[in-house]
Amino acid sequence: MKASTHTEIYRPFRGSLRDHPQRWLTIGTSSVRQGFKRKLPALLLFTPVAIGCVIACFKVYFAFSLLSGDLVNNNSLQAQGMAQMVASVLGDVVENIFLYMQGMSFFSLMIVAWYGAGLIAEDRRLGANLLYFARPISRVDYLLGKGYGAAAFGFLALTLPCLMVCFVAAFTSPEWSFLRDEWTTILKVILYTGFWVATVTMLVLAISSLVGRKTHALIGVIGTIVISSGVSEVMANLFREDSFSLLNLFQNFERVGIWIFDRRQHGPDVSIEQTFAALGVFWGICLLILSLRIRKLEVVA
Amino acid sequence: MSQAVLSIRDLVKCYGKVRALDGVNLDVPAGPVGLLGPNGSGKTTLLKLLLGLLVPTDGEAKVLGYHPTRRSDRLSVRTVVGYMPEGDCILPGMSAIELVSTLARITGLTAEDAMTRAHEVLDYVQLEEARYRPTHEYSTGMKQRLKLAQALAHDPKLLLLDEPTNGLDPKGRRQMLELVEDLGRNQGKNILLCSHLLQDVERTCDHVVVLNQGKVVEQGSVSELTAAKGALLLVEFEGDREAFLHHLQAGGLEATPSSENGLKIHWPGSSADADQVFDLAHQAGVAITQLSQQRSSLEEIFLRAVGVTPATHQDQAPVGETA
Repeated sequence: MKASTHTEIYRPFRGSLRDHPQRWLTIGTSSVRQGFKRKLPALLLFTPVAIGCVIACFKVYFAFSLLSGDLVNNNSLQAQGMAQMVASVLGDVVENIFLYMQGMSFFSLMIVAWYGAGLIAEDRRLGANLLYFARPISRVDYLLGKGYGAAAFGFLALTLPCLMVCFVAAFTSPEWSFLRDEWTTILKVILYTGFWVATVTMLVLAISSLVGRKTHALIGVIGTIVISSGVSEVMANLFREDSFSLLNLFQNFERVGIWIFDRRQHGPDVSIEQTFAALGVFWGICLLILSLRIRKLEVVA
Repeated sequence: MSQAVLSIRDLVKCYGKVRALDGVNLDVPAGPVGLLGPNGSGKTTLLKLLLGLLVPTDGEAKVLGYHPTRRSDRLSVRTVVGYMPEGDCILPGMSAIELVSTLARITGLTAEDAMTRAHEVLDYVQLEEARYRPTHEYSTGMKQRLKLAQALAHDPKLLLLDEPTNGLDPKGRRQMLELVEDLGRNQGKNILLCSHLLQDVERTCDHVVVLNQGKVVEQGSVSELTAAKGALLLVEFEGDREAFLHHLQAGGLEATPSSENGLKIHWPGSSADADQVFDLAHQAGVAITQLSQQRSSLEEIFLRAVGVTPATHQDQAPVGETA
């Protein structure tokens, strides 16, 4: 029932439009907000990440506690032996952070895929492109907005927990030694996770732009990863040629991580230059698909 | 004619070998204007060009001072134009208030203004009670009104409405037409109403443009078109029909029999000059018992413009019939 005072008259807008609104930011923010509307997927997807983060934080804390001698100074001989053994396993905090990043990559892929798969596919299915492109947004704005919408979840799934681990390391290290001696680790974490999240986002959006439903895009992303990894493995074994591992996204990123964190390389004998070339081709293909498909979305609107 | 809101010169758009628009010249005055045309006549292509979504093969268009055909203006024009698309379209997972405020922010409103504005326009289109409901639960009529609301979100100077009554039941259609009529006649909005429903255009628009095969085949105010070009004299008489027809033809008038003692005379001017008919009747020795003027309906104008005669049209699919 309507109030008797309700007139439903048209009110002209008295304000003014902003000169340079960050339109892509509005698109991205609304995508993030819509993503978090459904609580159950968020709970299921982020729980392993949260558990992993807590464990990694605890390991770092524990390692520094041992190094600072909190436990080593214990009078008990048995405790001293245990502490030395644990310290030898957990001693290298940076190694822990690196391993944590590698371990969480899969979960972050799943999270970006879940939240990003529908961003373009569902827009097309529901005709949202008709509404977006009737507004003063360019195709780049649209791509940035959707990219931000997907990458934000990747940031929450990978970059933020890794930074949290670094944060714990900084505060628990004796005499701020982590910040003084290993401060570059923080930059390396941002660089590596940012590159990973951006690459996965590109893949997810490219596949999302090719299909008409979120579920199809999700299957497409997982299929692409599984098939490319499988093909890479089979071809490498068949032809005894390490360069086939360049088809495997995870292995490429493992090499990038090893290079960034200056770890000792093991596995296929492929140079970092080749790895970056393979990732460059991957990015090129994704960008080509996205530019063609988003152009089509605009024109169809 | 008042100042043109929309001005198009020699606009051509080709898709491969198909010329969707073939040298369109058009000046659309302020106020509500109907854009009529059969399927494939180029209406949608024209709207896309006006929004800067397509680049023309040749020619120029000017919308409220912006040139949507130029790269520099193609985004700016969308800040002064509100577009209501034809098909179903919603932003996934959003309620009406979120949808309208998000699109208003994208256009350039601040977050606070966008939210206020979203409430105002949803009130206006009578969706105030459903504003927090997910839009995928909306009926067709509600979705149509939501599309109108989002087009109004930034209070544009020109509204491009693409088939706003499509798929609506009679009640929903009436509501939508009332809104469009109010916007055009009372709120002073410039409207380009793209429709194949002649009754909708006749009710809401003062000016009509007919597009066929990519060309403008007719344009003018509804009153001008129906009076000057479509005037018919319905004459009933007593006497020799053949002699009367012969005299009418000799007098340069086109006449067709309408009944046993009736004729339809296609009259180029107004009924004030009907004295000529009386003179010709007198010369033919017939007595006119009744003479009345019938103004052409918009449907006749439309059918004539697209090259379909009303007689043959009766056996075909009704172009102007309500869906």
